[in-house]
Amino acid sequence: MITASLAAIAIISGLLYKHQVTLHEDKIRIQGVALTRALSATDYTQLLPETNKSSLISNLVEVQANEDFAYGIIVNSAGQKLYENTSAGSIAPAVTMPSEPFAWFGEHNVISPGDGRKIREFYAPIMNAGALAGFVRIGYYDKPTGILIGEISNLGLMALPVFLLTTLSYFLIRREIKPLGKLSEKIEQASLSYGVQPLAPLHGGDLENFIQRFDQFIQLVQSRVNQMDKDSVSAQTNSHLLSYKQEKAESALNSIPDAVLVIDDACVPTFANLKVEPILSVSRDEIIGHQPQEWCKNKEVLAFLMRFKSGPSAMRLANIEYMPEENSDRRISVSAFPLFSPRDQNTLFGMLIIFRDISKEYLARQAGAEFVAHVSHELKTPLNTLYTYSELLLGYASLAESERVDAVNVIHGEVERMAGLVNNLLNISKIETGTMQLNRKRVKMNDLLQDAFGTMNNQAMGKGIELALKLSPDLGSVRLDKDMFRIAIDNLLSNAIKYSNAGGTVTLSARPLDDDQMQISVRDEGIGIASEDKEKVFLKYFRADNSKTAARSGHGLGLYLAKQIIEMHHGVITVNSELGKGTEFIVTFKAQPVQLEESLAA
Amino acid sequence: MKRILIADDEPHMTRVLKLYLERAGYTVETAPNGQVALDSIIKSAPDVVVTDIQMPVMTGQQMCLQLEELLPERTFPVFVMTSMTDREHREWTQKIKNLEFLEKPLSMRALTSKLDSYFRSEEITESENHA
Repeated sequence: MITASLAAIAIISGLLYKHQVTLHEDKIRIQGVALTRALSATDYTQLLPETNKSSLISNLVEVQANEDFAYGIIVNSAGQKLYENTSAGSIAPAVTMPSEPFAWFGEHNVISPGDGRKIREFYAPIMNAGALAGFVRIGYYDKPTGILIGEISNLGLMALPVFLLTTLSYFLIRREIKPLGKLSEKIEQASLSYGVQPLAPLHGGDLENFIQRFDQFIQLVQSRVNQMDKDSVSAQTNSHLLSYKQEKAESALNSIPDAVLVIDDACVPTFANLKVEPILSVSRDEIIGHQPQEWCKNKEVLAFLMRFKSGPSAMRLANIEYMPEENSDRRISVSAFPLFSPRDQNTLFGMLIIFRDISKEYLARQAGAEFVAHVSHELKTPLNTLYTYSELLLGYASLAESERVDAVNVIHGEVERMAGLVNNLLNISKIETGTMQLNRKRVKMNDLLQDAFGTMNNQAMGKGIELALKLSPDLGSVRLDKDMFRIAIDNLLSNAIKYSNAGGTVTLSARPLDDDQMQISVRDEGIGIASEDKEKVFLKYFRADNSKTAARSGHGLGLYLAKQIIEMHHGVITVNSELGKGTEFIVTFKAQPVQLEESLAA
Repeated sequence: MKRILIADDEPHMTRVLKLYLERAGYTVETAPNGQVALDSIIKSAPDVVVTDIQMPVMTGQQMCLQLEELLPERTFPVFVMTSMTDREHREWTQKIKNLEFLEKPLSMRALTSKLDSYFRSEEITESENHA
């Protein structure tokens, strides 16, 4: 730095000196040339005084007297000094003067033999009567004497601001470069933290170092940016894929009819699917991230969930059933499954809780249990009767003939009743398990209905009920399963007889409709069906809840079975009824043209 | 003559019980459900009530509970016909005094012997009371 400052001073000094020298040269040249010419033009006689009196030359030379003036002499053409006026210490050297006229005017450098200084000598010819008489030679010191001394103060004054400026700029630059150095270090650290190889340390100026580092860093950043662009594109693609996969997984989870809840080991739910809301009647936001105490309204469920807080030992009871509302038919089953870490099958990170609405299953289970109870009661009742009547016949009491016949009739009737029930049960079971195969055959409708009428007529007469038959004369032939169809018709008839009052009439009628349709109707004048029960009469196990129905034994299977059979024959069964007036069941089905069937068969 | 009230919704059963018990020398009344039986009891108390449980309109259980309220001083017994499978539903019978069980299917011999032994013991207590 100081070198630079000194160099600057030196350069400036040098320039100043050179300038001074040039100025000096110009000055002495003008003076020398002018003086020599002037003297050359002077008359020879005037030029050289005879005595040592003042002459033109001495006057001229004296005028010239300054520190640059070395000497002024006049020589003859042979070079002998005719006149000499020198400054102190200066001796004019002897030189050979040019003889050719073109070289008579000129200048050259000579060395002062006295002090060895370089001298610039200007010369010009002296003429006397048209011939060369000699030369006038005027010498000046080539180097300005005292020039440095003269300029030293100027130089000092110039050097000081130069030095100060240089120093100032140095510190300014240092101040700028120091943070740059730090920045450079930081860039290096940054490049290290980017995981790329560190920049090689550089030698040289701080700024250069910095610029190189900066360039390297920019390249680095550029390459990282490119890499990141690529990464971001692939990351975006991946995230799209991932979110798509997640959406797929979540939509799958939302489509599950069960409520799915994931709780962590602190019992706090981390996931809940959509179905959680209707089943638990709490929004998902209220559940996720909150302790079960905050949202779980049901004590049983809360207790179930809190079990998993106490660790894996409590994992045994993994299923409960609860009633979400008081006295309702709704039942929810709650199951818990441990969630193991995919990496470590021994690490448990939470539980998967499944809430399943099992109301239907519960109702079916209840209905099934009720059905079993009902059927067993229906089977036990005739069994009790059979037991008691057979005991009676065994002769624990003497019986009259009429009493004996009566007892046997009762036994016969009860056996029929049981057989009917068992048959219905078996048929229903066959239909429901799908093992029932219709054995379709060509059947004359008039014959089939006549047979059914004949069979049920006895039963009706036994109860004081009149059974009437109204058939169109020729209903034609229909392809159907004769046995199954009879079960349907018999059930409709026995149902009508059962719910008729003594003295009433049950009418079985049939007629063809347009479009190959046929209609069979069973009408009674019995207790009728309440309008709210009309839709339910075909339901399995359904029995109207009233005293008149309850007073009649039944198992709620007959109409259900009739409907199943008729639908298997692609028929439709409907009911018209008025409470207290009577009921009419109407069966409509397509009477498949026998001719077509036969031609197909052939 | 001892009067017996039989409540059963199954007409065959009431018929055969009536036939049998009348032969055995009892006066027999029948009712198709608990309500009819209860009305009859209030009108004129029988010596023994024999009742089924599952009946329409009013079950045997409802009838017994009504009897406890309406006739707290009742002395005649109620024989309830139950089957083995109904045993778990017998808690209510704890509240009814003078209640006995008749197992289904009902044997006529078992019924008559039960009635006979009941009336015999009653005669003894009565004669003891007179003495």
